[in-house]
Parts: sequence; C-alpha cells; structure tokens
Amino acid sequence: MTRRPPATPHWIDWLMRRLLTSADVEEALGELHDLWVHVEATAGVVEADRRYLRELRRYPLRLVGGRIRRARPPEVGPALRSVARNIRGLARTPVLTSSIVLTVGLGLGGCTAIFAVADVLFFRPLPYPDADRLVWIHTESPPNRFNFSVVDFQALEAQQTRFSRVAAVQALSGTFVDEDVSERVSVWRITPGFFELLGIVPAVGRTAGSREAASGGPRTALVTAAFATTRLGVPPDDLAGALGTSIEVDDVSYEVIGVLPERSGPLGARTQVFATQQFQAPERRGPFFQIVLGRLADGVETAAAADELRAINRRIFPLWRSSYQDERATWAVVPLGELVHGNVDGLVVLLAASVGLLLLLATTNAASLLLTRVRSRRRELAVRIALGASRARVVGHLAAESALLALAGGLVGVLLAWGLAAVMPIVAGSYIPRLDEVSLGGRTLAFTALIAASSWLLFGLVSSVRGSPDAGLSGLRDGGRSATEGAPTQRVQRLLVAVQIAVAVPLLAASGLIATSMRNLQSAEPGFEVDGLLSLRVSLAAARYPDAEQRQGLWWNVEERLASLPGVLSVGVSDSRPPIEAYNYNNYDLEDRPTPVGENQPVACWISADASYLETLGVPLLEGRSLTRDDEYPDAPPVIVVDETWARRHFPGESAIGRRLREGGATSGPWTTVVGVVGDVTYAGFGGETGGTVYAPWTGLTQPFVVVRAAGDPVTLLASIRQELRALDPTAPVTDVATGEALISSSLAEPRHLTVLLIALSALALGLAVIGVYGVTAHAVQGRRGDIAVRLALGGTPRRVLGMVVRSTMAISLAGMLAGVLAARAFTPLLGGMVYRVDPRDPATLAAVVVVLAVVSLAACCLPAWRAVRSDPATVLRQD
Amino acid sequence: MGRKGLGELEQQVLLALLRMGGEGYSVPMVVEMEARSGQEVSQAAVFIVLRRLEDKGLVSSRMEGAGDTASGRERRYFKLEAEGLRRLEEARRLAERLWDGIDSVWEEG
Repeated sequence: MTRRPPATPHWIDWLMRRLLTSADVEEALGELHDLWVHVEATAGVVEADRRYLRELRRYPLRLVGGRIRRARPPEVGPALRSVARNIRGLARTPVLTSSIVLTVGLGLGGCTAIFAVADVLFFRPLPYPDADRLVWIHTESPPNRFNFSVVDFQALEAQQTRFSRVAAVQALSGTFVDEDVSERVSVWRITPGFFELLGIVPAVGRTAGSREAASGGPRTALVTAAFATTRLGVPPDDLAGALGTSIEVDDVSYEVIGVLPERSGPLGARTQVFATQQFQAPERRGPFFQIVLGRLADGVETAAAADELRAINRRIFPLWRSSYQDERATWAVVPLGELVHGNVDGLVVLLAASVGLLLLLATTNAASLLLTRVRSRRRELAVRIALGASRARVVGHLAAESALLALAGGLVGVLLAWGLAAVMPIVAGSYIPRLDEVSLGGRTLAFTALIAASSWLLFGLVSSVRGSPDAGLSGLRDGGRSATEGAPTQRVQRLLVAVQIAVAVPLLAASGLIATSMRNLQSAEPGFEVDGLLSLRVSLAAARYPDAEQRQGLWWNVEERLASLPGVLSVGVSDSRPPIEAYNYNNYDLEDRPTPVGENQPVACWISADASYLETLGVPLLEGRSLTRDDEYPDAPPVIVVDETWARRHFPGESAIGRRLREGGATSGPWTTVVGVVGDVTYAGFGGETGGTVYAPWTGLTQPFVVVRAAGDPVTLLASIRQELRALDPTAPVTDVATGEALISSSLAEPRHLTVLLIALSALALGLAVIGVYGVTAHAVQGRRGDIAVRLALGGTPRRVLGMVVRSTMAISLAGMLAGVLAARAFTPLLGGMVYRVDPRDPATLAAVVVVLAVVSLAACCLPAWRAVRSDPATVLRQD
Repeated sequence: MGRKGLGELEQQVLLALLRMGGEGYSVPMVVEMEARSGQEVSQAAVFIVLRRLEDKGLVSSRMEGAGDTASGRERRYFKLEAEGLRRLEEARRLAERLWDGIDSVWEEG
C-alpha cells in the first residue's frame, strides 16, 4: 500500500485558495507531496508527516508576507505599502496594540449601542405613517395621568372635530382555550379604527367596523401572524387560512377577521389578540381603563386640539358629577411616544454618560500608552529625522499608525454594538421599549465614525505630536539615557493620568451607589414572609362564571381544598401580589377630611383580598380586625383594612379605626368603614410610592392570584395544587407560578442588570486608571534611575527615595481625584430615581471611592518605585 | 526606479539552481540548500521566492511530466536566465567589496 501525506487542514486549504490561484495551489501541494516522499525515504514517515504539516502551516503566512499572488499585479500602491508597514509595526507590540484596540473598541461599541437606542427613542419617529400626528389623549391630574373611561371616550368620539380619528384600547389578558389546552394570552380590546389610526393594514383580511362594536353585534378579533401560525396552525405562507376561524378567549368565541403583519409597531408589541370592544351603556363615569389614541386632522395644531379637549371635558363634567368630582383634572394631549416610551429617558441618559466616560478613559489611556511607545522609539525616529525625513513626515507616520488603531477600535466597536443590538431586546426588552427597532443604520455608523475620529484626534495626535523628537540631534543625543528627556512629554503624560483618575471617580461612585442601592433592595422588607410562600394565577373564563356569587363559592371551594393538602398551612386569594403586581388605584373622599373644592381626591392602591390573604402572606395585624369571610357577602356592610402608611397619611397620630370614606368619588351611597390597620406591604416595587394600600373584601374576580403558605419547601406542593385546581376547572390555566423568593428576585431584575453593568464599567475604569498610574510611574522611575542610583549611592535611604518617587505620582492622582469628585457631583444625580434608599450625592460613597482609588494608585506607583530602589546602584550606574 | 539587490534567500535559491546545472525542480533545490546550510529550509518560502524571481525575469519555468511524479501532478521546472546569472555575479562582487580588508581589522582586534 502506498503511503500518502496527511490531509490538508480545512483552514489552510481555505486560506491558500484565497491567496493563490487554484493552479498554484495544486503546484504547491504537488511540491509538498514530493518533499514528503523525500523526507519519508530519508527520515521516516513520522518526520515526513510533521514536516509536511509544518510546511503547510507556513504557506498562508509566507503568502501574506511574501506578497505574491500571481493574478495580482506585483506592485502595490505606496499608500497600501505604508499601511502594511504600519500594521507590521503594531503587530510587533501585540499586548499594547490589542489593549488599545479592545479598550477603545469597548468604549466605542458601548457608545454606538447607546446612541442607536437613543436614536430610536429620541430621534426616530414611531414606526407608523405620519407618526408626528399621533397623540395620547388622557386625563391630566398632576402628578398623575389617568386613562379615559368609556363615558369619556364616547363623549370625545361624538364631540371632537380636531382629530381625523380617535380610538380606545383596553389592555387585558385573557384565557385562550384550544381544545383541552388553555393558556393566558395578552388580549387588547380595541375600538374600530384603532389600526386605521395607526396606519396598520392587516396582512390578510380586514379590520372591524362599527357593526361589530355595537353591543350584541358579532364578536370579531384580529390576531398576530405569530399567533395564527403557532396557535391556529396556519402555514406562514397562507395566513388567509386563519380567516373565519373561531377562537375562544375567556369562553367567548371571536371570529378571526384579519391577521396582522409580522411587525406592527411597539404598541401592543406583546399582544397576540386584538378583539373588538363592545361598550355597554355606562352607569357611572369610571372606571378609567381606556387608553385613548388620536390622529390630529390635517392642519390642526396640537394646541387647538388641546383646547377642544378641555372644552369637551368641561361640558360633560356636570353630567357625571355624582360619580366624579375631580374638577381640577383636565383632558390633555401629548405625543404618542410618551405613552410608548414611558419613563426611560433617565436610564438612557445615565447609560450614555457612563459609556461616554468609559470611552474618554480608554482614549486617554491609549494616548498615554502610545506616548510611552513613541518615546521608547525616540532613537529610531531621531535616526529617521537625521537621515532626512522631515519632522512632519515622522509625525504623519505616527498619526497614520494611531489612525489604524482607531480604525481597528472602531471595527471592534461596531462588531460589539452589533452584538449588543441583537442581545438588548432579549435582556432589556421588558423595561426599554422599541429595542427591536434598534439597528446600526447610517446615522449610527456616522456617529461611530465621528467619535472614533475624535478619540483618534485625542490619542493619536497627542502621542505623535508630543512624542516625536523635535530635532534629530536631540533625540540621538539622549539616546538610551533619558534622564533629561522629554520634560514636556512627561507633563502631558501626567496630565493624561490625572484625566484618567478624574474620569474613573464618577464611574466608581455610580457603581458604588448602585451597589449600595442593590444591597438595600435585597435587604428591604417586602412586608410579607418570603420563606415558604408560593403564589400563582388561576384564570377562569368569565363567560363560564357570569355570576359573582357562583365565583365566590368557587374560590371558597378552592381555598378549602388547597388548605386540606398536607403541608399547606393556609391559602388566600387576591387580585394583586407583592412586590410589583398591583394595578388598581382608586380615588376616595374621607368623611373627616373632605377634599376641598378644586383639589384632587386622594388616591391609594386598592386591593381586593379574601379573609385569609393577609394571614397567608404573614402581614401583621396592628390594630382592629382583619377582613373576614362575612365581609364578602354582597349585603354585608362595606369595610376595608388599611395599611400603616395609609393610616399615617390621613390620620397621623390618631387611630384610623372607625373612619369612613366613599370610594371612586361617589357622592351618594353607603360609607365604607376602616376596621383594621395592618403592616405595610410593597406593591409598587421597592422605592415605589403607592400612597398607602387599602384592602377591600374579596368580590370573586375571575383571574386572581392564589397565595399558599407551606410548612416546608412550597415547590414540592405545586404538583398537588395543580391537580386540585384541574379537578375544579380543567379549562382554567395556572400561570405565573412563583415562590416568595422568586417574586422578590424577579422584581429586582432591572436594577440587577443596571448594577452588573455599572460595576463592570467601573471595574474596567479602575483597571485602566491603574494601568495609567503604573505606566507613568514606571516610566518616570525608568527615566530617573540614574538619579535614584546616585542618591542611593550617596547614602540616601531607600525609604526617602521611595517617598520622593511616590509623592510625585500621588500628587497627580490626588489632583485627578479632586477633579473627579467635582465630576461625580455632576454625574451621580443622573442616578436619581434609580437608586433605593441612597442619596445620589452620598458623600460617604464618594469618600470610599477616593480612598479606594488612592490605595490602588498608591500600590500601582509603589511597585515600580520599589523595584527601582531595590536595584543595585552600582549596576545601574555602570549600565549608564 | 532603483533596482534592489538580491535578498539572502533569493541568492541562496539562485545558487542552488546554478549548482544543479542552471535548471531544476524546487524539492531538490530545498534538499541541496538544507545540505549546504545544515538548517531546515522552508519549502513554502522557496516556492514563493522562485515565483518572485520569475516575476523579476531572473528565472523562467515550464511544466513537465504528470505521469511519473509521486503526487500524479505536473512539476514546474525553473531555469536560470542570463539576467539572473548577472545579478548573482553582481551580488558576489558587492559581498567581496564589503568584506575586503576585514581580516586585517579582525586580527588587530
């Protein structure tokens, strides 16, 4: 059997075929084969194989360096040659080059990604046709903004003349039942014209008309393309197959009349079903659940529309006075973007400022490193100048070299930003809207080019102009002995280090604050006993249980059956669950403290909870009594239990027991009496304000949370709980299962992301600052080693010499820190609203940052100084 | 544009070709160069240098004999051209001028 050389590795083959014509590749392999035969005959097959692979690996390298490609003309332009020379030059210092490219790239990438986000949120219109004409119409009752009620919307629709269209939507979730499987889906109930207003045309089918919005009319819905394919089993290329299908949501059948296109904008981006709303004739002004959108008619100014809105509100106010007295509340209009974007500006500004500082730090660091590099090449550069190269040319050469670094950093940055753009919607999509629209478009790339060029100006020009020798002879004279060299350069370098320290301070301060805040959040008292708690949501189809009494009975049944399971201590039911899931806020008027005319009524978080809910959560009863099952009967006298915050807010220093109020702004009807005060529970997230919490007796809603207190690990109970619930109603899906720990943890996801991000940024900042301090000290010590040796030889103690070196570097550090503290005073207030129980200007944090930086930079400058002091003076002096 | 002198490897390759009678195949050249220098010579480097020399007109080449090679592929044979020979002689004269009188300097040192 004839032996053959080893197979060519794929990557080498791939590279060779890109560097050579295929005829040349064949020739090269033929020659290698012949060489293999020769080596095998003389040194054996093992050596032949080794040599063969070694030669193969050399080919790509040699081909790149040897610059032949027969198809390519052998002469490359001088510009390209100089680029190649520069690349080779940079490749000789791989650590320096890669650290500059990576740090600058990281800064550029972060800035690019944040710019891309800001571009979408602040500059790019919402992805709807003529989006600048779209507005959110709401009730303004400072500091709150309320949605409309059905009454409001119907009046608006009938009386307005300034909008080409208005539409209302109620965002809900519903239970979708498909044969035996049921699940909760996001369902928006919309009025006809919702899609026309936004300019969305269904991919197939049509939108609803007024006939379907009339009470008793046919029930219709539009679904998303994803819903049609995954839930209705329609092939993606035949969405029309979904039309006419009937879907069951909350036991109501809807006929699918249209399928939405793949991307239909950020409003309702997570909603799968858009069902047509059918209004019943309202009996009172509230409740206020309708989000109202409008499209301004052509030529109408926002101000004119706002005037008309106020007028309509004034007109209908007297008609509904018995159920709504907030006379100061007005109707108002703001761009639709404010509804879509929510309160995200502060976060984006904070992130932008953070990555901007990081980029500044990376750039300064690069300038410092390059300056060191240029100085170490002084002799080479001086020789060039002595041989006739003009100084301009040397500067040009250095600038070109740094331009390459900036370019590479820019490429790394774009790659990073591209990755971030893909990851961000997944990681942060739940609290930053429109992230799926983020793309690296022309404007973003132009921005990247601009900041890459600016950072190049900083690090490239500083290093090449300050670093290159002024005249050939001085550089030559100094040569290796640099004791007298470059005093101005040293000054520049010291300045750069001071800037680095100054930039690091605000970043470190921010991360210190956010870390403290995170610790506070984690140790915050949620107001309920976390251990042994299990909670889940059960969704009954409303149509199946039309009768409140019937639902009430069902929940009592659920409680009894679950409570009888072994290991279960108690079970409760409520429409809310801590720490972030409470959606109902109610206004009310206190009997003892009536709202003065012209003032807004107080508002509090309103929770419907059954008799054992508070006990199951482990909320302490402070005064009076808790809710009982008797309170839940429709004919029972209305009572509520309030929390401590509520009691203190309205009756500071007094008892709240026995006080009475009227709910929902009603002027007639029975009074509701406070019968108990319980401990505070967090419902609006840690740091969120609810104005106190009111617990009203359970009214048998269809989609409550069930909370279970277990004797041991609550997770082990889940299977039997599910089984019991299925036995009661097999169509009711059980969702949102979470233990007490999971509830706390998931409510902290957003601050946790921000904490990790800021700590990572500041760790990088600290690292770069340390490199800077170390570098400048090492260089200064290197330059003064003769001086140090003389001092030591003449009897100077190492301590004094050490002190001398350290003092000069620490002076710069301290100057930087001082500037940094001032910068931090401007920077950390951006954290306001994002930190919990920490003052964004907290002086202790700032002091800690200064101490950390001082210690770290002391260590960074002691190390090279100590090394210099330990070296033998005689040796140093001989070398020089 | 000024013409550059021969590189070290270029010189070695041309010398190997000359020793083989002014015509030859790359693998025996590599073997010859290794025998003379006592070091491994990169086949890849020789491959590239030969083609560069051809671009400069110092050698020429032709393909030959697919049937009798181990790999079953044709081989490229290179031939030293008059210009190549002239450049080799030039290089030798330059080297001799550079080394001229060095021995006496060394002896003094």
